Amino acid sequence: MEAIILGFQTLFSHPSVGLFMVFGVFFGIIFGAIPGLTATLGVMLMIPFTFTMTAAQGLAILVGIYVGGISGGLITATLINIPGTPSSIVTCWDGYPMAKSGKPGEALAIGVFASLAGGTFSAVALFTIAPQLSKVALMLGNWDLFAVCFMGLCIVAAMTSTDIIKGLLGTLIGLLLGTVGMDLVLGVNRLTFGFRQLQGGLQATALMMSLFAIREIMDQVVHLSSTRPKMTLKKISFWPPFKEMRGCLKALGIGSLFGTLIGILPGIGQNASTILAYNQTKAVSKRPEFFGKGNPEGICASESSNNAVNGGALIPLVTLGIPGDMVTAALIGGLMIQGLQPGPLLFTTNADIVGTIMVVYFLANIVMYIMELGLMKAIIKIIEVKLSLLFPAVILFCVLGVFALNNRVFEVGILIAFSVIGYILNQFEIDLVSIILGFILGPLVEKYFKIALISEEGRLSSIFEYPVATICLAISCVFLFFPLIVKGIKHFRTKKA
Amino acid sequence: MKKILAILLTLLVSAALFTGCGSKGADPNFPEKPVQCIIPYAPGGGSDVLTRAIMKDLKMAQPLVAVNIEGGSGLVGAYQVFDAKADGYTILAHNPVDLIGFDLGGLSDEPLWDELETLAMVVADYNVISTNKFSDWKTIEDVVAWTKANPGQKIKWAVSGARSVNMADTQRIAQALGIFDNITFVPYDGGAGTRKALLGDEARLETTTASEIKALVASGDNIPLLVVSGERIKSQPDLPSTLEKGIDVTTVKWRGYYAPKGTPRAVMDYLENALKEVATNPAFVDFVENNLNFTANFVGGAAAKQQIVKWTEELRPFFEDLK
Repeated sequence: MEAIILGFQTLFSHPSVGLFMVFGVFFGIIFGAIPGLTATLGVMLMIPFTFTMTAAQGLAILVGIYVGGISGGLITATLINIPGTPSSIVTCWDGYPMAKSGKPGEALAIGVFASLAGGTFSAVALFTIAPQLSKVALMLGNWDLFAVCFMGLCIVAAMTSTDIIKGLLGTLIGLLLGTVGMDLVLGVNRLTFGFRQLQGGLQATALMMSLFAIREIMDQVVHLSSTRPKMTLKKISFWPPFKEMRGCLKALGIGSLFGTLIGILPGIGQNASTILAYNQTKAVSKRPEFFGKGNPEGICASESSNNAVNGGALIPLVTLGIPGDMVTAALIGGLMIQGLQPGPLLFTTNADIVGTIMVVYFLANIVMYIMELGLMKAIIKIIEVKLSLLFPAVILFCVLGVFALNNRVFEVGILIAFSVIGYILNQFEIDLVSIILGFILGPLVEKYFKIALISEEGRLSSIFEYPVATICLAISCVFLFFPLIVKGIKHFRTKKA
Repeated sequence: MKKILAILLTLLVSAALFTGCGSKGADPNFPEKPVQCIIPYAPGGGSDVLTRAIMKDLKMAQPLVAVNIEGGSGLVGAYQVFDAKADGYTILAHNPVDLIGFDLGGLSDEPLWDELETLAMVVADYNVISTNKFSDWKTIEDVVAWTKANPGQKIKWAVSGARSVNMADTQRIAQALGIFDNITFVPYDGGAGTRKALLGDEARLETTTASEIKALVASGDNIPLLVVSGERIKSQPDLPSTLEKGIDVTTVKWRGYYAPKGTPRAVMDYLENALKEVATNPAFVDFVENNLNFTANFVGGAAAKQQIVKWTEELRPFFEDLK
């Protein structure tokens, strides 16, 4: 509590910190909204500039970009079905159909509001129970983490696709793609075919932008000659369209909770979080048949969870000094440059800095909300731009963004190759989302499995000594065999009758 | 027509050859354009911050430009420099310990620690053996005593990488202490993983670096037992070194700079001198020691290479066992 007061004090006594945050959010929204230029890239490009700022200024600008960037991705996802940043892939599914049905303004407003809700939820968690949550994160052993990731894989393999075979096939392809590169635990090269450019693995952003941005453009280009659905924007109010948001409270809750919890666990990140939250929301929704057809619940689940991840990832950072993702790793670097030692003591020795991080994160969400609504009139003009001009621009930005993320032309090659592969797979109706999930979760499942097995000297049964792991495994089994069980029961009943 | 084409091509090829030769010669005006420094990790990490601190104070006719190329734990960026033109305009920020690990662990086809020219080592970091507050161990002797008292039980020891210099050194130390059979060595994929393992009591011992644990030592969550070094280190003067305990494992985790093989001698000398000037600058020393927790330790290219060769030969047989 004291830290939060100190944070507000810092902000009021150094107005520049607030200004840097506002600029960060703006910069982030722009980066997030342009497909190819991602939130991560925005943060990476800004890091060198933060070296000359004070600690509070640097942290404020990076947190601002993070929040703005992750939310900004929903704009193009909703308006042209192309995610602006990989974490908005799921937003396309309901955002675009809703926009197409004549409600682009409402769809955007719902998305922006969901971002605010998710961000605020995780900010409150950060304010109140960060130390407790970080203890929970520490308690989870390798088997537990393995089982959590495995469960995520099973849930989606069983539910994303109407056709379970194609869902599993997608997951399998994703698992294979995730295997490419150096295995950092055991120190061996895998599936690199002697090609050392592949030792770093396939870059996630390149893969996701190819499968969901370029591939989508290829799909839409086929219908370029036909007229686009006319989208008109009505008046924008400060409040979200509550009457459209029937039943969305549950979606926002699930998204925020999933996002915050996933944020605490290292390595899973926004992309997997949105997919898992979406599936869970669909499973408990009263009208699951509307998902994928412009259901506001889908937008809420996706956008609240990806922004909640940001706050969750800050929890291990401020409490333990352990980074959860690339952005928090960069924040640690920023702290060290200023002579601060990120760790458990930071809360007591530098409560002002911890407080600033928390307060800036909280306020950045609000600034993001106001700014995106304010920019809406300008943003919506995208739909008036000819697709024949818009698409080449998007492709250009994808190439630029993917190159700039790692300064290697090779990554652009990956982008091009997987656009073609993605197009072909999509024609065969292979579920591209399961590919992404396999790609993200596969390496985590494998990593934790290996470490756990080595740590227990090869005793596979030791997994049952971990309660969280056992429960997760049981749930995974239910999800995997659910269709079979249902079939079996039906079969049994008909026989009896 | 074909003949003319053939002649033209021959001319082109020879022209290309000559230009190739031209750049081989030492350039007295070096540097005429900015020098690229490849950092094989993401922005914001220890190596990145170090290089950017050097960039700020470096006195060269042209600026040093940092380019981050991450992947494969630093191997992708290292190869980028290996493949680069040897004119001094592309250099690499790296650490010999990882490059040795890539070679002996079979991850790189070439021994990059040898194939790249060593410009200079700028700072040193040290591996530290530490435990957590759940163990009640205060010294390395406590650990040995515990293993004697509990012969059937095993201690989990978290190390980053299964076939890394960290793992080889950890096992060498365990052997020297006579507790090798009482340990389960658990490889993690990096420092964040091992730190979490120790904090969460998933492992009782951890091999980590002095720079990474400063905050955790201060908070009492991490209790250092032994530093892998020939002498005690400045940042933790109370911590006994391996050598004083009679363990002949002293691999220091230097961080320094490399150039592609064949870079002209004069150019390398120029870069080495420029680096030396920064590395011995008091403001820089203060920054790396207080903010980044490294130990300032400038070692010239030739001396560093000699030491690196020695470490590699020491480590080679242990990597055979790791496979």
